[in-house]
Amino acid sequence: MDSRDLFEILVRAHIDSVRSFLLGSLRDPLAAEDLVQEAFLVAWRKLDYYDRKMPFGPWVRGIAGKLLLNWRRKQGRSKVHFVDDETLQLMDHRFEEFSSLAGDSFDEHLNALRDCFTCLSPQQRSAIDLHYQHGLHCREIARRLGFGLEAVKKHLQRGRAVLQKCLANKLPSVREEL
Amino acid sequence: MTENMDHIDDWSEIDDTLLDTGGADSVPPAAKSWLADQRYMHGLLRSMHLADSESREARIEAIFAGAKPAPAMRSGFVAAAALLACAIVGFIFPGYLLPSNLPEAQAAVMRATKLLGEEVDRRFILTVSLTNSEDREVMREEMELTTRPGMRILMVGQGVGVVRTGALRAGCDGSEAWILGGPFNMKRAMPLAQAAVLVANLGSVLDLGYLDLHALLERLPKALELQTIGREVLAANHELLHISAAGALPQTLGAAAKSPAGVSKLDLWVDEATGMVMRIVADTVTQVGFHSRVAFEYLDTVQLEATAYKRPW
Repeated sequence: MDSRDLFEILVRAHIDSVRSFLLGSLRDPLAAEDLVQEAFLVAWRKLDYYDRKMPFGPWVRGIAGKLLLNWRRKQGRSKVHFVDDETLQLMDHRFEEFSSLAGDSFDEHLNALRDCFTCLSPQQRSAIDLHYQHGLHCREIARRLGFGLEAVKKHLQRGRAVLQKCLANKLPSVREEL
Repeated sequence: MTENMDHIDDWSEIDDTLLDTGGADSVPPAAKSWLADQRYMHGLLRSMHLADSESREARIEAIFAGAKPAPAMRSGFVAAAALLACAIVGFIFPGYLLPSNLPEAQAAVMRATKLLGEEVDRRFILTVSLTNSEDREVMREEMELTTRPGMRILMVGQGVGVVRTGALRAGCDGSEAWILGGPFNMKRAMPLAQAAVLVANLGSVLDLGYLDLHALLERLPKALELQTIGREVLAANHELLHISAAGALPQTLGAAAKSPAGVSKLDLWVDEATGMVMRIVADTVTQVGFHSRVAFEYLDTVQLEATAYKRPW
Protein backbone atom coordinates (compact mmCIF):
# COMPACT_ATOMS: atom_id res chain seq x y z
CA MET A 1 0.00 0.00 0.00
CA ASP A 2 1.38 3.37 -0.75
CA SER A 3 -0.12 6.78 -0.14
CA ARG A 4 0.18 7.65 -3.81
CA ASP A 5 -2.21 4.84 -4.80
CA LEU A 6 -4.79 6.05 -2.32
CA PHE A 7 -4.28 9.64 -3.38
CA GLU A 8 -5.02 8.66 -6.96
CA ILE A 9 -8.39 7.32 -5.86
CA LEU A 10 -9.11 10.62 -4.13
CA VAL A 11 -8.03 12.65 -7.15
CA ARG A 12 -10.29 10.63 -9.43
CA ALA A 13 -13.19 10.98 -7.01
CA HIS A 14 -12.91 14.75 -6.55
CA ILE A 15 -11.23 16.28 -9.58
CA ASP A 16 -14.49 17.07 -11.39
CA SER A 17 -15.99 18.74 -8.34
CA VAL A 18 -12.92 20.94 -7.85
CA ARG A 19 -12.87 21.82 -11.54
CA SER A 20 -16.55 22.84 -11.51
CA PHE A 21 -16.01 24.84 -8.33
CA LEU A 22 -13.24 26.80 -10.06
CA LEU A 23 -15.08 27.14 -13.36
CA GLY A 24 -17.81 28.92 -11.44
CA SER A 25 -15.48 31.83 -10.73
CA LEU A 26 -12.80 31.89 -13.42
CA ARG A 27 -13.39 33.29 -16.88
CA ASP A 28 -10.62 31.34 -18.56
CA PRO A 29 -11.15 27.55 -18.52
CA LEU A 30 -7.43 26.98 -19.04
CA ALA A 31 -6.69 28.96 -15.90
CA ALA A 32 -9.19 26.72 -14.13
CA GLU A 33 -7.28 23.65 -15.33
CA ASP A 34 -4.05 25.13 -13.97
CA LEU A 35 -5.61 25.81 -10.60
CA VAL A 36 -7.15 22.33 -10.45
CA GLN A 37 -3.69 20.86 -10.90
CA GLU A 38 -2.19 23.25 -8.37
CA ALA A 39 -4.91 22.52 -5.82
CA PHE A 40 -4.24 18.77 -5.93
CA LEU A 41 -0.49 19.25 -5.82
CA VAL A 42 -0.90 21.36 -2.69
CA ALA A 43 -3.24 18.69 -1.29
CA TRP A 44 -0.58 16.05 -1.98
CA ARG A 45 2.08 18.07 -0.19
CA LYS A 46 -0.26 18.88 2.73
CA LEU A 47 -1.85 15.45 3.04
CA ASP A 48 -0.16 14.97 6.38
CA TYR A 49 -2.27 17.80 7.81
CA TYR A 50 -5.57 16.53 6.51
CA ASP A 51 -8.00 15.34 9.21
CA ARG A 52 -9.11 11.96 7.90
CA LYS A 53 -12.32 12.08 9.89
CA MET A 54 -13.51 14.92 7.67
CA PRO A 55 -14.68 14.54 4.06
CA PHE A 56 -11.96 15.10 1.50
CA GLY A 57 -14.05 17.19 -0.96
CA PRO A 58 -14.45 20.34 1.19
CA TRP A 59 -10.79 20.15 2.19
CA VAL A 60 -9.45 20.14 -1.34
CA ARG A 61 -12.02 22.71 -2.49
CA GLY A 62 -10.86 24.87 0.43
CA ILE A 63 -7.35 24.71 -0.99
CA ALA A 64 -8.70 25.56 -4.44
CA GLY A 65 -10.57 28.52 -2.96
CA LYS A 66 -7.43 29.94 -1.36
CA LEU A 67 -5.58 29.59 -4.65
CA LEU A 68 -8.47 31.34 -6.37
CA LEU A 69 -8.34 34.29 -3.98
CA ASN A 70 -4.57 34.60 -4.54
CA TRP A 71 -5.09 34.37 -8.27
CA ARG A 72 -7.67 37.17 -8.16
CA ARG A 73 -5.31 39.38 -6.18
CA LYS A 74 -2.62 38.85 -8.80
CA GLN A 75 -4.71 38.84 -11.97
CA GLY A 76 -7.50 41.23 -11.06
CA ARG A 77 -11.23 41.13 -11.57
CA SER A 78 -10.96 40.88 -15.36
CA LYS A 79 -9.78 37.27 -14.92
CA VAL A 80 -11.61 36.17 -11.80
CA HIS A 81 -15.20 37.00 -10.87
CA PHE A 82 -15.98 38.45 -7.47
CA VAL A 83 -15.14 35.98 -4.71
CA ASP A 84 -14.49 36.22 -1.02
CA ASP A 85 -14.26 33.67 1.77
CA GLU A 86 -17.97 33.77 2.51
CA THR A 87 -19.03 33.28 -1.11
CA LEU A 88 -16.57 30.44 -1.50
CA GLN A 89 -17.89 28.72 1.60
CA LEU A 90 -21.44 29.04 0.36
CA MET A 91 -20.43 27.60 -3.00
CA ASP A 92 -18.57 24.76 -1.31
CA HIS A 93 -21.69 23.90 0.64
CA ARG A 94 -23.66 23.67 -2.64
CA PHE A 95 -21.04 21.36 -4.14
CA GLU A 96 -21.06 19.14 -1.07
CA GLU A 97 -24.83 18.83 -1.41
CA PHE A 98 -24.37 18.04 -5.09
CA SER A 99 -22.12 15.11 -4.16
CA SER A 100 -24.99 13.57 -2.20
CA LEU A 101 -27.19 13.25 -5.29
CA ALA A 102 -27.97 9.76 -6.58
CA GLY A 103 -25.06 8.14 -8.36
CA ASP A 104 -21.47 7.16 -7.67
CA SER A 105 -19.57 9.59 -9.84
CA PHE A 106 -19.67 13.28 -10.63
CA ASP A 107 -20.89 12.48 -14.14
CA GLU A 108 -23.74 10.42 -12.71
CA HIS A 109 -24.63 13.37 -10.48
CA LEU A 110 -24.66 15.54 -13.58
CA ASN A 111 -27.38 13.28 -14.97
CA ALA A 112 -29.68 14.81 -12.37
CA LEU A 113 -28.87 18.22 -13.82
CA ARG A 114 -29.46 16.97 -17.37
CA ASP A 115 -32.86 15.67 -16.28
CA CYS A 116 -33.70 19.12 -14.92
CA PHE A 117 -33.45 20.72 -18.36
CA THR A 118 -37.04 19.70 -18.96
CA CYS A 119 -38.06 22.27 -16.32
CA LEU A 120 -36.68 25.18 -18.36
CA SER A 121 -38.82 27.43 -20.48
CA PRO A 122 -37.98 27.40 -24.23
CA GLN A 123 -36.30 30.82 -23.92
CA GLN A 124 -34.25 29.74 -20.92
CA ARG A 125 -33.28 26.51 -22.66
CA SER A 126 -32.18 28.36 -25.80
CA ALA A 127 -30.17 30.91 -23.86
CA ILE A 128 -28.44 28.24 -21.77
CA ASP A 129 -27.66 26.05 -24.79
CA LEU A 130 -26.20 28.97 -26.75
CA HIS A 131 -24.19 30.25 -23.80
CA TYR A 132 -22.81 27.01 -22.36
CA GLN A 133 -22.87 24.56 -25.23
CA HIS A 134 -21.89 26.96 -28.01
CA GLY A 135 -19.93 29.44 -25.93
CA LEU A 136 -21.74 32.54 -27.18
CA HIS A 137 -21.64 35.81 -25.25
CA CYS A 138 -24.88 37.45 -24.16
CA ARG A 139 -24.79 40.05 -26.97
CA GLU A 140 -24.53 37.36 -29.64
CA ILE A 141 -27.30 35.34 -28.03
CA ALA A 142 -29.48 38.47 -27.97
CA ARG A 143 -28.82 39.03 -31.67
CA ARG A 144 -29.60 35.45 -32.61
CA LEU A 145 -32.74 35.14 -30.51
CA GLY A 146 -33.99 38.66 -31.18
CA PHE A 147 -34.12 39.52 -27.48
CA GLY A 148 -32.70 42.50 -25.65
CA LEU A 149 -29.38 42.02 -23.86
CA GLU A 150 -30.94 42.35 -20.42
CA ALA A 151 -33.62 39.84 -21.32
CA VAL A 152 -30.96 37.30 -22.27
CA LYS A 153 -29.18 37.82 -18.95
CA LYS A 154 -32.44 37.33 -17.08
CA HIS A 155 -33.22 34.15 -19.04
CA LEU A 156 -29.80 32.77 -18.15
CA GLN A 157 -30.09 33.71 -14.50
CA ARG A 158 -33.64 32.48 -14.18
CA GLY A 159 -32.69 29.31 -16.03
CA ARG A 160 -29.89 28.65 -13.55
CA ALA A 161 -32.27 29.28 -10.67
CA VAL A 162 -34.82 26.84 -12.13
CA LEU A 163 -32.13 24.20 -12.56
CA GLN A 164 -30.85 24.73 -9.04
CA LYS A 165 -34.31 24.44 -7.55
CA CYS A 166 -34.87 21.25 -9.52
CA LEU A 167 -31.54 19.84 -8.30
CA ALA A 168 -32.32 20.82 -4.72
CA ASN A 169 -35.53 18.79 -4.91
CA LYS A 170 -33.48 15.74 -5.87
CA LEU A 171 -31.28 15.92 -2.76
CA PRO A 172 -31.72 12.92 -0.47
CA SER A 173 -32.66 15.13 2.50
CA VAL A 174 -35.43 16.78 0.51
CA ARG A 175 -36.66 13.49 -0.99
CA GLU A 176 -37.01 12.04 2.51
CA GLU A 177 -39.18 14.95 3.58
CA LEU A 178 -41.50 14.62 0.58
CA MET B 1 -31.66 26.19 -0.20
CA THR B 2 -32.10 29.87 -1.09
CA GLU B 3 -35.19 31.04 -2.89
CA ASN B 4 -32.91 32.51 -5.50
CA MET B 5 -35.54 33.32 -8.11
CA ASP B 6 -36.86 36.24 -6.05
CA HIS B 7 -33.72 38.33 -6.24
CA ILE B 8 -32.82 38.29 -9.91
CA ASP B 9 -34.22 41.76 -10.47
CA ASP B 10 -32.40 43.11 -7.40
CA TRP B 11 -28.99 41.60 -7.92
CA SER B 12 -28.73 40.75 -11.60
CA GLU B 13 -26.01 43.32 -12.16
CA ILE B 14 -23.62 41.88 -9.61
CA ASP B 15 -23.54 38.55 -11.41
CA ASP B 16 -20.34 39.22 -13.32
CA THR B 17 -20.34 35.81 -15.01
CA LEU B 18 -22.45 37.41 -17.74
CA LEU B 19 -20.16 40.39 -18.32
CA ASP B 20 -17.62 40.24 -21.11
CA THR B 21 -14.99 41.99 -19.01
CA GLY B 22 -14.55 43.46 -15.57
CA GLY B 23 -16.66 42.61 -12.56
CA ALA B 24 -17.73 43.61 -9.12
CA ASP B 25 -15.27 44.63 -6.41
CA SER B 26 -17.74 43.93 -3.66
CA VAL B 27 -21.29 42.70 -3.27
CA PRO B 28 -23.90 43.38 -0.58
CA PRO B 29 -23.75 40.73 2.17
CA ALA B 30 -27.38 39.83 1.55
CA ALA B 31 -26.59 39.02 -2.08
CA LYS B 32 -23.83 36.54 -1.41
CA SER B 33 -26.03 33.50 -1.04
CA TRP B 34 -27.83 34.35 -4.28
CA LEU B 35 -24.49 34.92 -5.99
CA ALA B 36 -23.14 31.59 -4.70
CA ASP B 37 -26.21 29.84 -6.11
CA GLN B 38 -25.63 31.42 -9.52
CA ARG B 39 -21.92 30.56 -9.46
CA TYR B 40 -22.62 27.00 -8.41
CA MET B 41 -24.90 26.46 -11.40
CA HIS B 42 -22.55 28.40 -13.67
CA GLY B 43 -19.69 26.05 -12.68
CA LEU B 44 -21.77 22.93 -13.15
CA LEU B 45 -23.08 24.01 -16.55
CA ARG B 46 -19.61 24.93 -17.77
CA SER B 47 -18.20 21.69 -16.45
CA MET B 48 -20.94 19.70 -18.14
CA HIS B 49 -20.22 21.20 -21.52
CA LEU B 50 -16.44 21.26 -21.21
CA ALA B 51 -16.13 17.62 -20.20
CA ASP B 52 -14.38 14.90 -22.12
CA SER B 53 -12.76 11.77 -20.80
CA GLU B 54 -9.44 12.21 -22.61
CA SER B 55 -8.72 15.63 -21.19
CA ARG B 56 -9.82 14.37 -17.79
CA GLU B 57 -7.20 11.63 -17.92
CA ALA B 58 -4.63 14.16 -19.09
CA ARG B 59 -5.45 16.36 -16.10
CA ILE B 60 -5.01 13.44 -13.72
CA GLU B 61 -1.71 12.45 -15.36
CA ALA B 62 -0.51 16.04 -15.08
CA ILE B 63 -1.25 16.02 -11.36
CA PHE B 64 0.73 12.85 -10.83
CA ALA B 65 3.57 14.05 -13.00
CA GLY B 66 3.94 16.95 -10.59
CA ALA B 67 3.38 14.88 -7.43
CA LYS B 68 6.65 12.99 -7.52
CA PRO B 69 8.11 13.41 -4.06
CA ALA B 70 6.10 11.48 -1.49
CA PRO B 71 4.77 13.64 1.31
CA ALA B 72 6.11 13.07 4.81
CA MET B 73 3.25 10.91 5.99
CA ARG B 74 2.32 10.25 9.55
CA SER B 75 2.62 6.55 10.14
CA GLY B 76 -1.09 6.64 10.90
CA PHE B 77 -1.92 7.55 7.34
CA VAL B 78 0.05 4.64 5.96
CA ALA B 79 -1.48 2.35 8.51
CA ALA B 80 -4.94 3.62 7.68
CA ALA B 81 -4.31 3.03 4.00
CA ALA B 82 -3.15 -0.49 4.70
CA LEU B 83 -6.10 -0.97 7.00
CA LEU B 84 -8.48 0.19 4.32
CA ALA B 85 -7.12 -2.43 1.99
CA CYS B 86 -7.35 -5.05 4.71
CA ALA B 87 -10.85 -4.03 5.62
CA ILE B 88 -12.07 -4.11 2.06
CA VAL B 89 -10.44 -7.07 0.56
CA GLY B 90 -9.45 -9.69 3.10
CA PHE B 91 -6.19 -11.54 2.73
CA ILE B 92 -4.24 -13.81 0.42
CA PHE B 93 -2.02 -16.82 0.85
CA PRO B 94 1.54 -17.65 -0.24
CA GLY B 95 3.42 -20.77 -1.18
CA TYR B 96 4.50 -22.23 2.11
CA LEU B 97 4.13 -25.93 2.64
CA LEU B 98 3.98 -27.81 5.87
CA PRO B 99 5.21 -31.41 5.81
CA SER B 100 2.27 -33.58 6.84
CA ASN B 101 -1.23 -33.93 5.45
CA LEU B 102 -3.52 -35.56 7.93
CA PRO B 103 -6.95 -36.85 6.92
CA GLU B 104 -8.30 -35.57 10.22
CA ALA B 105 -7.53 -32.00 9.20
CA GLN B 106 -9.06 -32.43 5.75
CA ALA B 107 -12.22 -33.96 7.18
CA ALA B 108 -12.64 -31.19 9.72
CA VAL B 109 -12.23 -28.50 7.09
CA MET B 110 -14.64 -30.22 4.70
CA ARG B 111 -17.24 -30.50 7.45
CA ALA B 112 -16.83 -26.84 8.32
CA THR B 113 -17.13 -25.98 4.63
CA LYS B 114 -20.43 -27.82 4.42
CA LEU B 115 -21.76 -25.87 7.39
CA LEU B 116 -20.65 -22.55 5.96
CA GLY B 117 -22.31 -23.51 2.67
CA GLU B 118 -25.76 -23.40 4.24
CA GLU B 119 -27.96 -20.49 3.24
CA VAL B 120 -27.43 -18.83 6.61
CA ASP B 121 -26.05 -15.44 7.66
CA ARG B 122 -23.12 -15.94 10.01
CA ARG B 123 -21.48 -13.25 12.08
CA PHE B 124 -17.77 -13.03 12.79
CA ILE B 125 -15.55 -10.49 14.44
CA LEU B 126 -12.88 -9.53 11.94
CA THR B 127 -9.76 -8.10 13.56
CA VAL B 128 -6.95 -6.55 11.55
CA SER B 129 -3.79 -5.51 13.37
CA LEU B 130 -0.55 -4.08 12.08
CA THR B 131 2.85 -4.14 13.72
CA ASN B 132 5.86 -2.24 12.47
CA SER B 133 9.36 -3.56 11.88
CA GLU B 134 10.13 -2.97 15.58
CA ASP B 135 7.30 -5.34 16.46
CA ARG B 136 5.21 -2.51 17.90
CA GLU B 137 1.49 -2.61 17.20
CA VAL B 138 0.57 0.55 15.30
CA MET B 139 -3.01 -0.25 14.55
CA ARG B 140 -5.85 -2.54 15.54
CA GLU B 141 -9.20 -2.48 13.82
CA GLU B 142 -12.16 -4.59 14.73
CA MET B 143 -15.15 -5.00 12.48
CA GLU B 144 -18.25 -7.11 12.46
CA LEU B 145 -18.38 -9.34 9.40
CA THR B 146 -21.55 -11.10 8.28
CA THR B 147 -21.31 -13.60 5.44
CA ARG B 148 -23.59 -15.80 3.42
CA PRO B 149 -22.42 -18.12 0.63
CA GLY B 150 -22.31 -16.62 -2.83
CA MET B 151 -19.99 -13.74 -2.11
CA ARG B 152 -22.45 -11.94 0.10
CA ILE B 153 -20.53 -10.06 2.75
CA LEU B 154 -21.20 -7.13 5.03
CA MET B 155 -18.62 -5.40 7.23
CA VAL B 156 -19.40 -2.72 9.77
CA GLY B 157 -16.81 -1.16 12.00
CA GLN B 158 -15.43 1.84 13.80
CA GLY B 159 -11.76 2.70 13.94
CA VAL B 160 -10.16 1.99 17.29
CA GLY B 161 -6.70 2.11 18.82
CA VAL B 162 -3.88 4.15 17.31
CA VAL B 163 -5.67 4.89 14.05
CA ARG B 164 -9.28 5.99 14.01
CA THR B 165 -10.72 5.66 10.56
CA GLY B 166 -14.30 6.67 11.30
CA ALA B 167 -17.38 4.55 10.69
CA LEU B 168 -16.90 2.18 7.81
CA ARG B 169 -19.37 -0.07 6.03
CA ALA B 170 -18.34 -2.30 3.18
CA GLY B 171 -19.89 -5.23 1.48
CA CYS B 172 -20.78 -7.22 -1.56
CA ASP B 173 -24.16 -8.55 -2.70
CA GLY B 174 -22.69 -11.26 -4.88
CA SER B 175 -22.24 -9.08 -7.92
CA GLU B 176 -21.33 -5.60 -6.71
CA ALA B 177 -18.71 -4.59 -4.12
CA TRP B 178 -19.07 -1.32 -2.25
CA ILE B 179 -17.55 0.76 0.53
CA LEU B 180 -19.00 3.67 2.48
CA GLY B 181 -17.20 5.90 4.98
CA GLY B 182 -13.82 5.15 6.49
CA PRO B 183 -10.81 7.33 5.72
CA PHE B 184 -11.82 10.22 3.42
CA ASN B 185 -15.50 9.24 3.67
CA MET B 186 -15.26 7.04 0.63
CA LYS B 187 -18.41 6.13 -1.25
CA ARG B 188 -17.67 3.71 -4.03
CA ALA B 189 -19.34 0.76 -5.67
CA MET B 190 -18.25 -1.39 -8.57
CA PRO B 191 -19.08 -4.68 -10.21
CA LEU B 192 -17.32 -7.52 -8.43
CA ALA B 193 -15.58 -8.43 -11.69
CA GLN B 194 -13.94 -5.01 -11.68
CA ALA B 195 -13.04 -4.99 -8.01
CA ALA B 196 -9.55 -6.21 -8.91
CA VAL B 197 -8.89 -2.69 -10.15
CA LEU B 198 -9.67 -1.39 -6.68
CA VAL B 199 -7.44 -4.09 -5.22
CA ALA B 200 -4.64 -2.94 -7.52
CA ASN B 201 -5.26 0.69 -6.60
CA LEU B 202 -5.03 -0.19 -2.94
CA GLY B 203 -1.67 -1.85 -3.28
CA SER B 204 -2.68 -5.35 -4.33
CA VAL B 205 -2.26 -6.61 -0.81
CA LEU B 206 -5.46 -8.51 -0.53
CA ASP B 207 -8.21 -10.42 -2.21
CA LEU B 208 -11.87 -9.62 -1.76
CA GLY B 209 -12.94 -13.17 -2.57
CA TYR B 210 -11.58 -14.56 0.68
CA LEU B 211 -14.08 -12.69 2.80
CA ASP B 212 -16.59 -15.23 1.53
CA LEU B 213 -15.51 -17.70 4.18
CA HIS B 214 -17.39 -20.59 2.64
CA ALA B 215 -15.53 -20.12 -0.64
CA LEU B 216 -12.28 -19.76 1.30
CA LEU B 217 -12.65 -23.01 3.19
CA GLU B 218 -13.85 -24.78 0.07
CA ARG B 219 -10.53 -24.06 -1.59
CA LEU B 220 -8.34 -25.11 1.30
CA PRO B 221 -8.19 -28.91 0.86
CA LYS B 222 -7.53 -28.59 -2.89
CA ALA B 223 -4.99 -25.81 -2.76
CA LEU B 224 -3.24 -26.05 0.57
CA GLU B 225 -1.48 -28.54 2.77
CA LEU B 226 -3.46 -29.07 5.98
CA GLN B 227 -1.86 -30.23 9.20
CA THR B 228 -3.41 -30.94 12.57
CA ILE B 229 -1.48 -29.19 15.30
CA GLY B 230 -3.49 -30.52 18.23
CA ARG B 231 -6.46 -29.82 20.45
CA GLU B 232 -6.50 -26.55 22.33
CA VAL B 233 -8.77 -24.93 24.83
CA LEU B 234 -9.69 -21.43 23.82
CA ALA B 235 -12.41 -19.23 25.27
CA ALA B 236 -15.19 -20.70 27.41
CA ASN B 237 -13.19 -23.85 28.16
CA HIS B 238 -14.07 -25.19 24.77
CA GLU B 239 -11.66 -27.63 23.16
CA LEU B 240 -11.03 -26.93 19.49
CA LEU B 241 -9.05 -28.72 16.81
CA HIS B 242 -6.15 -26.53 15.71
CA ILE B 243 -5.25 -26.88 12.01
CA SER B 244 -2.47 -25.17 10.10
CA ALA B 245 -2.77 -24.58 6.38
CA ALA B 246 -0.15 -23.45 3.91
CA GLY B 247 0.35 -23.36 0.16
CA ALA B 248 -0.45 -21.26 -2.87
CA LEU B 249 -4.08 -20.27 -3.13
CA PRO B 250 -5.31 -18.90 -6.47
CA GLN B 251 -6.53 -15.31 -6.55
CA THR B 252 -10.27 -14.90 -6.83
CA LEU B 253 -10.38 -11.63 -8.73
CA GLY B 254 -8.34 -12.36 -11.84
CA ALA B 255 -5.01 -11.04 -12.96
CA ALA B 256 -5.61 -7.33 -12.52
CA ALA B 257 -4.08 -7.31 -9.06
CA LYS B 258 -0.32 -7.20 -8.85
CA SER B 259 1.62 -9.75 -6.83
CA PRO B 260 0.16 -9.63 -3.36
CA ALA B 261 2.09 -9.75 -0.17
CA GLY B 262 2.41 -13.24 1.26
CA VAL B 263 0.83 -14.90 4.24
CA SER B 264 3.47 -16.31 6.50
CA LYS B 265 1.08 -18.35 8.63
CA LEU B 266 -2.56 -19.45 8.51
CA ASP B 267 -4.37 -21.29 11.27
CA LEU B 268 -7.91 -22.53 11.84
CA TRP B 269 -9.65 -23.75 15.00
CA VAL B 270 -12.61 -26.08 14.47
CA ASP B 271 -15.22 -27.19 17.01
CA GLU B 272 -15.32 -30.96 16.53
CA ALA B 273 -18.68 -31.23 18.28
CA THR B 274 -20.51 -28.91 15.92
CA GLY B 275 -18.11 -28.96 12.98
CA MET B 276 -18.03 -25.16 12.91
CA VAL B 277 -14.80 -23.23 12.28
CA MET B 278 -14.58 -20.93 15.27
CA ARG B 279 -11.44 -19.02 14.45
CA ILE B 280 -9.21 -18.26 11.44
CA VAL B 281 -5.96 -16.34 11.78
CA ALA B 282 -3.67 -15.27 8.93
CA ASP B 283 -0.35 -13.50 9.36
CA THR B 284 0.89 -11.48 6.39
CA VAL B 285 3.60 -9.01 5.50
CA THR B 286 2.11 -6.01 3.69
CA GLN B 287 3.77 -4.17 0.83
CA VAL B 288 4.54 -1.23 3.10
CA GLY B 289 6.54 -3.47 5.39
CA PHE B 290 4.05 -3.90 8.22
CA HIS B 291 3.24 -7.29 9.68
CA SER B 292 -0.46 -7.77 9.45
CA ARG B 293 -2.68 -10.24 11.27
CA VAL B 294 -6.22 -10.87 10.09
CA ALA B 295 -8.41 -12.89 12.45
CA PHE B 296 -12.01 -14.12 12.19
CA GLU B 297 -13.81 -15.12 15.38
CA TYR B 298 -17.16 -16.82 14.90
CA LEU B 299 -20.04 -15.27 16.86
CA ASP B 300 -23.42 -16.67 15.83
CA THR B 301 -26.04 -16.84 13.11
CA VAL B 302 -28.35 -13.95 12.32
CA GLN B 303 -31.18 -13.42 9.90
CA LEU B 304 -30.60 -10.62 7.43
CA GLU B 305 -32.72 -9.44 4.54
CA ALA B 306 -31.11 -10.10 1.16
CA THR B 307 -30.96 -6.32 0.71
CA ALA B 308 -28.61 -6.04 3.69
CA TYR B 309 -25.71 -6.97 1.43
CA LYS B 310 -26.54 -4.35 -1.16
CA ARG B 311 -25.02 -0.90 -1.16
CA PRO B 312 -27.03 1.38 1.11
CA TRP B 313 -27.37 4.28 -1.30
